[in-house]
Amino acid sequence: MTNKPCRIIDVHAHYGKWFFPIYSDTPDNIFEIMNRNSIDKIVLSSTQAIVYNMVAGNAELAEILDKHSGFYGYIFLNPNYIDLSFKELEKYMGNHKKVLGLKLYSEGYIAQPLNCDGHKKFLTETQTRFPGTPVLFHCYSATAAMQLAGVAKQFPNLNFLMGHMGGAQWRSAVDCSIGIPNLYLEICSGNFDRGKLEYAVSKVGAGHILYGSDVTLINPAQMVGMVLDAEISENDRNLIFSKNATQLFRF
Amino acid sequence: MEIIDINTIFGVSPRKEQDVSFPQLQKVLDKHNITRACALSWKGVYYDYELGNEETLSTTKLDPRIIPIATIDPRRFYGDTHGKLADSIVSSGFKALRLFPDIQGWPLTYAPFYQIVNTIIMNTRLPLILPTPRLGFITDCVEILEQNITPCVPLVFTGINYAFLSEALVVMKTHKNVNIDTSLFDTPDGYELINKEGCVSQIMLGTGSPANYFLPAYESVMRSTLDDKEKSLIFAGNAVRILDI
Repeated sequence: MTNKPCRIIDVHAHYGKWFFPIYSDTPDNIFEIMNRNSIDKIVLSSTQAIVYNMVAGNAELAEILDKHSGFYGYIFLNPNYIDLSFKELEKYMGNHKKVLGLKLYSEGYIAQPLNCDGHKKFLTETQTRFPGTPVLFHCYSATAAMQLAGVAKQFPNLNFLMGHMGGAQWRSAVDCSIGIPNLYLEICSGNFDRGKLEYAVSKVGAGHILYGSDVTLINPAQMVGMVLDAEISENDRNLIFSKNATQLFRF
Repeated sequence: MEIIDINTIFGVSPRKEQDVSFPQLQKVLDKHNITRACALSWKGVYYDYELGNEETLSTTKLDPRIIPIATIDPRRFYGDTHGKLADSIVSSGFKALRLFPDIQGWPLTYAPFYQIVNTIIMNTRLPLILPTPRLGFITDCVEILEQNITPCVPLVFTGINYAFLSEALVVMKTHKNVNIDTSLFDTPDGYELINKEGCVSQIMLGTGSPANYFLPAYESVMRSTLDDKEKSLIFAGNAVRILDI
């Protein structure tokens, strides 16, 4: 009964510890989880950078990216530390061949809205110096989704990934993404409403949806199961699992 | 391999547009070769529990795969003085009682809930299925049940995710009557951890179908490193034993 797709690219993953009972967090553990779920490439951001220390976390991540050929990274920037974030951007973007994009958060861990001034400064700089860069934003509500839609329109030369596609408020998140060419939905969350992928495909097209898992916080098999269960075409499934990411990240 | 889904609910979904009808549930059962499903009607959760329980029972006549689960809304319930409801729940063939404090908005420290515990649960000794809406809920719930019912009946908590896992593990290790479902069981090494901690006999396949996709929970078990015997416990064996079905 298990269907194993031949190839998956996971565009939303983490490296580091969690304050939950999760112990498969070493590079080798991640590699083993990728194998079990037919994931060939994975784009990671640092947990430590997001929830605690940006500089130490980014450095920790950069160090492990060469450990496996399938590992790639996002650099995390914290809008509470603008000067320091610019130094991080300088240090990694364009200088580390496996750092491919930015991971930006909203609300919770950084206590700043998605469209805060700090983020806009980072995006202005990135758009000028690194056009086309993928930017993964944490986006777990309709409010954050609408803010991201606005940001994506403001920065047309960057590619935005709506992490979690609005969580339980996915319908509003999908609706506000319609017609924005540089905005992509990333599917991982703890919401498994049947029909949500079909809805997203019908509204924004499978070409604007990407597979992400949130590993090591969340089991990639859940999101694999969701894509396999959705009543969409095989072509759409392949776009979501890997083809869109191949193009967006220039793999 | 037998597959029993212990977490299915059918009817009408008033809070979001979605087809969660009984035919839709049957479609999911057919699509994924699910052998049996513990089910109840949303009517008993959102509207009237007696009518909902009647509707649940009527589906068992339509489809032998359905195992009926009863519900009671404590906002309407103030006692079962003559044991009439408890008798009828048992004689009708319900295999568990499932409550919805998250949707109905009642706390555990709530006299009508104690009434359900002291009359319905006490007299039927049916397993009790509950959601996990907040940290501390499992701890509180087990304490209340233990104070009132000895030996305690099986308890099943749905919706355990990474945030609730440490609490669930502590309680499951010390209370072998405490069980969980797989509907939101989401940590990448969660099944391996549950197994390592000696609790693999306390987790059952539950998916939230047809509101939820079925495969996220199923694939998480299938792609774990558990052996076939352990997987079959999660897919069916534990439910057969815990729910006596």
